[in-house]
Amino acid sequence: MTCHDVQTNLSLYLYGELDFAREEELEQHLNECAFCQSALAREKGWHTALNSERRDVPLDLLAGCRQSLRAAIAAEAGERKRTSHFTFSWPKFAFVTPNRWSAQVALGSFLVFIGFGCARLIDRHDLTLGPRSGGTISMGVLNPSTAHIRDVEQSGPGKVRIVIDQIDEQQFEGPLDDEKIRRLLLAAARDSLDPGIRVDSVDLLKDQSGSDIRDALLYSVQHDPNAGVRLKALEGLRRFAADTPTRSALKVVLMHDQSPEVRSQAIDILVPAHHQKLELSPDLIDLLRGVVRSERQSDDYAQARALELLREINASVDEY
Amino acid sequence: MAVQGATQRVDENALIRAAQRGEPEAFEQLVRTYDQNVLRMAYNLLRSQEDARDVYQEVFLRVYRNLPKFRFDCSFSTWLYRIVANLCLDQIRKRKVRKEEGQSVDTASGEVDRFQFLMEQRADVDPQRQLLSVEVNQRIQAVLEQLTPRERVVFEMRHFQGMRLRAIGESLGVTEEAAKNCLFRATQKMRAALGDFL
Ligand SMILES: [Zn+2]
Repeated sequence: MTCHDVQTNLSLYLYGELDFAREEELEQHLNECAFCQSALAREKGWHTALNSERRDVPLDLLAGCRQSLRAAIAAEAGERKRTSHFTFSWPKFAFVTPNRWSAQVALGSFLVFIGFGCARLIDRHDLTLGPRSGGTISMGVLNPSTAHIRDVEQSGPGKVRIVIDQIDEQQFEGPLDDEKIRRLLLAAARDSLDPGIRVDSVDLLKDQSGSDIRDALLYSVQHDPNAGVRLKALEGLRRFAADTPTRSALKVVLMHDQSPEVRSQAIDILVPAHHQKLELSPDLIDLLRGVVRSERQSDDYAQARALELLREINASVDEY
Repeated sequence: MAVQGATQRVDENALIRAAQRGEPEAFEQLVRTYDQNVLRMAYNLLRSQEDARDVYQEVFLRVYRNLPKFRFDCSFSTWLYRIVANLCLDQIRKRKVRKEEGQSVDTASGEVDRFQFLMEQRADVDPQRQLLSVEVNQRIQAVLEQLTPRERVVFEMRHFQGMRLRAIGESLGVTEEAAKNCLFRATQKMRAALGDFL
């Protein structure tokens, strides 16, 4: 294999799409040729650059698409019903509007509708709201093998509806700050398979009080796979920015989160814009140095900001 | 999340059969298994929310209409991506035609992209850095647009969706070898445009 052969096949090699013999040959050549090794590094470089340019689908686009599909299918199903025996109707309770949480949600007094089925679960976990309440919903109620939260949506001014997938349907009503409703939302924020539901649940919870809320936000910001959900959790964490556990989590996020926007938010919460003389703790200074030294895209806001802050306090980048 | 894996391991064939019998929950679950990937692919290929929405709708309506005829001759995902790939190809071709006719097209710039978003949000950051990132972004966009529609779709499916060439070939109705050649040409163009720049 010549250098030219190797270099034109580097991408196929990185994709693992060369046949066995060619891959062997190519690796052998790479072992011995520094020129092709640097070509491989360049090839990996542009592969990575492409990934960082990739766009996330806006969450309301996904919600909007699902909504229009439901409507279109409901229309077709109605048509079929009239013309044949074949019925295929979309669940009737599933209506979502994009930007459904954009309306302000105040605390406490709102009603929450929970549409769900499976009376067994309700009995077992004492989910009824009213005189016989007193038990709590364990996270186990959302065990995805038996139930999964299909949707969290605003069902009217100040009202929330949580739809759980089950065979029959039942509806419950209760205030948003009810302990059980809250636990259900906490579980949805963490366990729902749908990032749209997780972001909505986090959004709804983020202004409520209580250390369990903070813990849920901390969990989401560190473990949720979707950057939109992590950003939403960060919004909620702003008011806990002075707490030690929050600061520790924010530091981890700033250093390791994959999303530049999430890192940007994290640094702005850790070191808010200020007008007086800036004072930073030694461990924060170390962290900022770490951020500056980390390998990022040239446009990385968090990195630029970290450098700016270090300059402001006249701290060098490399000092330990 | 561990729970995610657990539920998604539901037997897909059973789900498809249930959907074929007309169970709406089964159909919805089937949609939800794939729709985020489908939308991500359409959105990134077409760079327009509106076009991505149209493709999404058309894909799953066709799935809905044709599912009763699905005979398990191939995997469901191959069958689904055949629809996705063809619709995206059509859209890209249409767009190319429109462009050649000199009409305005809502390309990537139609959606305010991440970098512009950053620029607006972060007016206080070094403008030099931002210009550089915008330039990289534009360079990537330009080379993606230089690919033929089929190269673009193959590249998307391999690089971003992580599909194997064999599956890509099946989706496009071509041999694995033809898909490989297509990917090869795409990567040559990408390397020429980006290899030394980054
Ligand atoms: Zn060589």
